Amino acid sequence: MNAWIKRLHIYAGLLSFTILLIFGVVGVMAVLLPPPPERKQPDFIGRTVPFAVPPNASDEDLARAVWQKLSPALTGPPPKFSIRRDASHNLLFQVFSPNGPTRVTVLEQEGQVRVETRRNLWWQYFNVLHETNIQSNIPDIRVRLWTYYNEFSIWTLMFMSLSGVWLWLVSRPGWLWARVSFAVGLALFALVWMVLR
Amino acid sequence: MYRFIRNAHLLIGLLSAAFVFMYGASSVQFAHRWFNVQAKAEERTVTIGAGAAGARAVARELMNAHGLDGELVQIREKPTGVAFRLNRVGTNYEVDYTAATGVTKIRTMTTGVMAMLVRLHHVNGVWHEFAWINVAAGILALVSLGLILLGASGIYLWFKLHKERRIGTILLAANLIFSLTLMILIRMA
Repeated sequence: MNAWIKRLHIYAGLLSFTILLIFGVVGVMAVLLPPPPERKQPDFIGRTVPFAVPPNASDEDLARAVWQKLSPALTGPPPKFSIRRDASHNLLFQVFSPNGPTRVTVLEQEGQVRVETRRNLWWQYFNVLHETNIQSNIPDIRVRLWTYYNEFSIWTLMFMSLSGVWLWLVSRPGWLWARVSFAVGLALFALVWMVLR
Repeated sequence: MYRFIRNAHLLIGLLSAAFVFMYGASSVQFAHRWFNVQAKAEERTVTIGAGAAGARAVARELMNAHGLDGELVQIREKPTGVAFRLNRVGTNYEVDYTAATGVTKIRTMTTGVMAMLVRLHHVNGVWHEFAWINVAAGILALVSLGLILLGASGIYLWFKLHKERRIGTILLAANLIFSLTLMILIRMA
């Protein structure tokens, strides 16, 4: 059985190798980044397109109708939390893709919508990929497939951490450095848990 | 070389196992929301010195006299005094201080185990005033670096296992073709 656990440990790692690297890179970047207000973001790039506003649509219906007409790539329907009105009472909403957000302002009186997009930097792209899970509302098949890959990798990550400990216990449990390493890891986790709880 | 890499893989894996499991378990929660992660709230009222000069002075007195701790955020000046939050990842305090009387309402919100795992997952940056968050972020950076090293050393160790080379090559190629193709297609969309 241990031979099979070792084999599965290897297979799991090979099958999720790419996303494990992404998890690692995103984790390092998350620590190195400055506080959110100081992070440099690419500018939004805007354009205006004509849009005839249906007279009896609710804000949510209107946002959805605009989203359907614009069909921004790799986005899902506008989430409720993003739908609001600006100081001029224009309807605003945002939709999100792994490549960045799209901000839409419905200019009802002009019969137009202003569409502004911002393209994520590479690390932002990796960050969004690492958090794009099966809860994502993006129907595009490419993103759906990625969410399944992400789901698979979450479970393999846990499996590898548990099976790795198991494989140590059945192969070299007496190795002092391994004991020290495991104990230090547990102690650090306990410390972080206690001081931040 | 093989022996060194094998030992390093084992030591890094054991050192980071608990954190990696935390990342995995919290990711399951993100993806499935199987557990209730609502914080439990309790309220109490204490009296501290009246006329304190701002949120920092109030926070300091609450830390010294009433055992509160955490990062001072979301400060709101009010006609009657000041309100703010003290965040400590697993426990957050909402404080409402009345300057005239010193009466201070404290709403303490504590989380369960899964919510704590989720919040630990979100710890980032080393700019926090609450130093322990910076310490945790530093450890998490090392664990993330460990993940990269585990991946790289794992590939080496697998390649040296000759009997697993054929099926491993198929699995690795399948992974790379699938994931890199998707990453490129999504980025180019």
